[in-house]
Amino acid sequence: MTVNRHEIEHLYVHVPFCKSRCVYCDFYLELEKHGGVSAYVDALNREIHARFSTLKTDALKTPLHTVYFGGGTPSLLTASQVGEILQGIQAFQVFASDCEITFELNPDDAQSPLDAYLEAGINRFSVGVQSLSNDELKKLSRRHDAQTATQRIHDLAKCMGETANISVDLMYGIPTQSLASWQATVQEACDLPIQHISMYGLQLEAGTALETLAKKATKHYPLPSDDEHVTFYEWAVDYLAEHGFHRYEASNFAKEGFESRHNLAYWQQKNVLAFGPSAHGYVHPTRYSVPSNLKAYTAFSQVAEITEEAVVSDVERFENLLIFGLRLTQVGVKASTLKEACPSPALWRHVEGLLAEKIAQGQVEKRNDAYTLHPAWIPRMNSALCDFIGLDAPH
Amino acid sequence: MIQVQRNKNIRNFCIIAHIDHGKSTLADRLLEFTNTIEKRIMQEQMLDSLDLERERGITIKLNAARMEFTYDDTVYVLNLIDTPGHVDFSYEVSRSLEACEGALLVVDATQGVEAQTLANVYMALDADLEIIPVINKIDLPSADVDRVKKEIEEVIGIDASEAILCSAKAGIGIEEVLRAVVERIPAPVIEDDKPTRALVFDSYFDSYMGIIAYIRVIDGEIRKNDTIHFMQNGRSYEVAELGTLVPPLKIKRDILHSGEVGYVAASIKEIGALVGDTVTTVRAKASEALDGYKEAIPMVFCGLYPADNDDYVELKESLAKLKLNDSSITFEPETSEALGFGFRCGFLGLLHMEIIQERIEREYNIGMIRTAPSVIYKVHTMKGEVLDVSNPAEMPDAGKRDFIEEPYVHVSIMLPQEFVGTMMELAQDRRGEFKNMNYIDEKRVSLEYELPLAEMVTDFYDHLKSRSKGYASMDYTFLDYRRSKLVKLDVMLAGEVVDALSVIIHEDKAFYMGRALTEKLKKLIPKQMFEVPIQAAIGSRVIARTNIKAMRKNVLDKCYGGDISRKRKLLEKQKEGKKRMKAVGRVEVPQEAFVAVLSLDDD
Repeated sequence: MTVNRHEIEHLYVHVPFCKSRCVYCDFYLELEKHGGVSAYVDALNREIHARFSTLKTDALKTPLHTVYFGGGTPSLLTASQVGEILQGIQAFQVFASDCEITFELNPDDAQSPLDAYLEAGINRFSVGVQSLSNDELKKLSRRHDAQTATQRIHDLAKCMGETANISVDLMYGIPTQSLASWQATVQEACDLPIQHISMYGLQLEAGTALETLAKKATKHYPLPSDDEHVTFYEWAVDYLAEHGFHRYEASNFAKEGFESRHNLAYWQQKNVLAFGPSAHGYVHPTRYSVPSNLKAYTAFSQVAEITEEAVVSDVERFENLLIFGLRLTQVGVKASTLKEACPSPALWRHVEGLLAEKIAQGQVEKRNDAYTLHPAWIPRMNSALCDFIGLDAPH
Repeated sequence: MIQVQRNKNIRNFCIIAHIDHGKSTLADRLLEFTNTIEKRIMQEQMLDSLDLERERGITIKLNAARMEFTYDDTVYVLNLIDTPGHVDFSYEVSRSLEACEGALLVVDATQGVEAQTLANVYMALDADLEIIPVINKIDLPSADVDRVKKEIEEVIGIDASEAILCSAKAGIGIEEVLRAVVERIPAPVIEDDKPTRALVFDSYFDSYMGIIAYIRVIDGEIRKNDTIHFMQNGRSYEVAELGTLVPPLKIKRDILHSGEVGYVAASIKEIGALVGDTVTTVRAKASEALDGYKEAIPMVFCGLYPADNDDYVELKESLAKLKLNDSSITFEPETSEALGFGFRCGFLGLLHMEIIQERIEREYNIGMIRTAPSVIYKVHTMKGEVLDVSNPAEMPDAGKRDFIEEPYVHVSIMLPQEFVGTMMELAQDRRGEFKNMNYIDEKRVSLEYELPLAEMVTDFYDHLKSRSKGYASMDYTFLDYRRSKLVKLDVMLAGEVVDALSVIIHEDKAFYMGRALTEKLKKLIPKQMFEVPIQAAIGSRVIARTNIKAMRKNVLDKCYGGDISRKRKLLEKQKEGKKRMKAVGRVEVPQEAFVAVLSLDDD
């Protein structure tokens, strides 16, 4: 089967606004209080129009399988703005009947009643819960408390009824977090009417407020050690499995059939058309990013002529398939997929050898002709995965 | 008696000085005063042409310069042949001396005679050179000319009454130095009619002209298009170009007469040691080669391994090229289980070793791992054989050894008397046997010790300098081999001996060394995927142990909204870190760990 490498089935929309910056965040964002949301929506609609107009029609022949509103805080958009954006997209490309349309939502700041977003077309929500301990939420400078978050999820579930498809983000390694408080968060989250959990270890990013706090106010911001991170993570993996959430990717857990198809698209190196300031997209063979401040973005949206782009070489794409495919703890990455994507037989022999070596070392498993990381190596995956970088160097 | 003919207008001389006593600055002034080099193109310290030399402020490779100086209406050609001033390089000094008739002995007016100066002066006296004492830095407030004169007379035993007082930095006394060179240094003897004999005192590789040999013509002459013959090397070449040296230029000539110093290029491509060889011509072939030099014997050995195994061939070529103008380097292939393919290299001393390593890294851009320096041990086996062992990994098992002998050196140290106590402590600590102590004058003392060379090559010199606030100087000469209670100390990681970390050490020091090594390695080796025991052992007896705990986590990161490059960067960083590691069994060891043995008291 030959794959049309140009067809687009996935689309990402970046919403850069937040009410405030969380202490751990090092992403580009715009503070909502400085205004500009409606101007942004106008620019976004222009960008969508301009960009689609440049694409060849055969790239758009297949229907869209996923759309993802990420941020920032997408819930700072009103439902009608969301509807407008989706309609703008629909003018160029049809949505598959089961298209997964995800919307990131902060527990405290949705601009419209929840059912309005459903009416606009959203059918999956990703809620930034992070923790169900109020002390920890304060350490993270999140604006919501645990009760608001759980209430919001119950409301969402009620609205969505049988079609409920709700994900929550949880974070471990938060300052002051103990195993007990982490366990409480995971247990409570499990009892919520949700279908999906993304679970991330908090990292200290350079230049963030949290980095300063963790260094200067060590007493008030004691960070769990690496060993605790692993303990937290591995406990949660077991607990979630017992409660119907299976791990399908290193950091992602879902009830049967609720795996995020949008995230899978990234990990499997599918084309993802990205819109909005600082969004990152990939349309074979090019990876690109959209300018990341509102002024530059507004200018850009007129023509949507990408300037920041890089051609992903065949070797790099092949590496990405490996690196991200191995993280897919259930389906893994198929040997046949790899072999097909591998630019040369010599390289394939080298990589097969490398994989065999890693299997012997217990780092990688091979099941049903697909490679995955061994569960014991997930916490240390960088040590295992980095050998698949730079394969085009002489070996 | 036949009157010898001399080439009256030529003087060949060198400068002998202790490090920092101002030799290079004086050389610069001489070049400047004689307008050999225009001031505007004059780099500081012109003769030190290696970057490394300029950075470290010392002369390593000798070089030569031709100056013209008018004295009483006669133009004289003064050939200055540079000499290095460090303890490791007495071999190079002997080369320069052979090509000269005289030497300037430069002594710092604030410091006085140092141990190394002494050694070089004796070499110059051996070579029958006329020595002109030059007291430098007389403009400094702490200069004590009378004391230094007295030292020159008492310690060296040469007349200092006509010593020239100068300050190279301030430009004082430069002309006097040049006049003294003309007046006091004998002109070279003319032997143009004799069969040709020229001494190669240096050489370097030029990518266009091949190997260029720096020569002093002793007898006869060399002409353009002559066929020259290297008497030891056995090869013949046609002269493509010859001339004299005026830094930074060469001046082409058609003929070089006896007594002259210059260069010869002859499309020599084969890399092999030329330095010390005698050049003759087919036209006037000599039957006997010149004496050459005192052969330099490498005293310090270490393994050099390319950090990246792919660089092995480049490393081999770079060593061969360096050997070209530094024949004292020796190298032969060696294999280490931990480090792969590399070379066991021999050097004159520690500084020499460091400089060669740095030159390879800089000039050839090859990253390297260096094992701990070692010396040649004479291992007497039960069977009665005597084996030369410089690589600890090759030491026969204890059961097969009868006894081991190690090289001893005679060390003379000159230092201000207030540091005598601490210096004696250092020497004692390094298994030194006290031999003698003399007062040079009221303030300065000379100490003599006999010391195992192995104790000296670790970091004796650094300690000597730091304990004396830089005031002590030293020189050493090889004595003999002596029987010692030596053991081989192995380091084991996860139960496997790391051959590159083995050391040969005195029994009494093994326990301390074992402890220090294992602790240091614990700090240097990052957490692995499993617990790693680190042990130090003599044979099967473990004398120190510690553990590295297993690593549990790298980073479980978020997949940032499709920003795959961010994730890749993280992995690239991880990979970079890994590249600097060498796999020892299942343990990944950073390169720094292999030199840990060198610097156990860093922290």
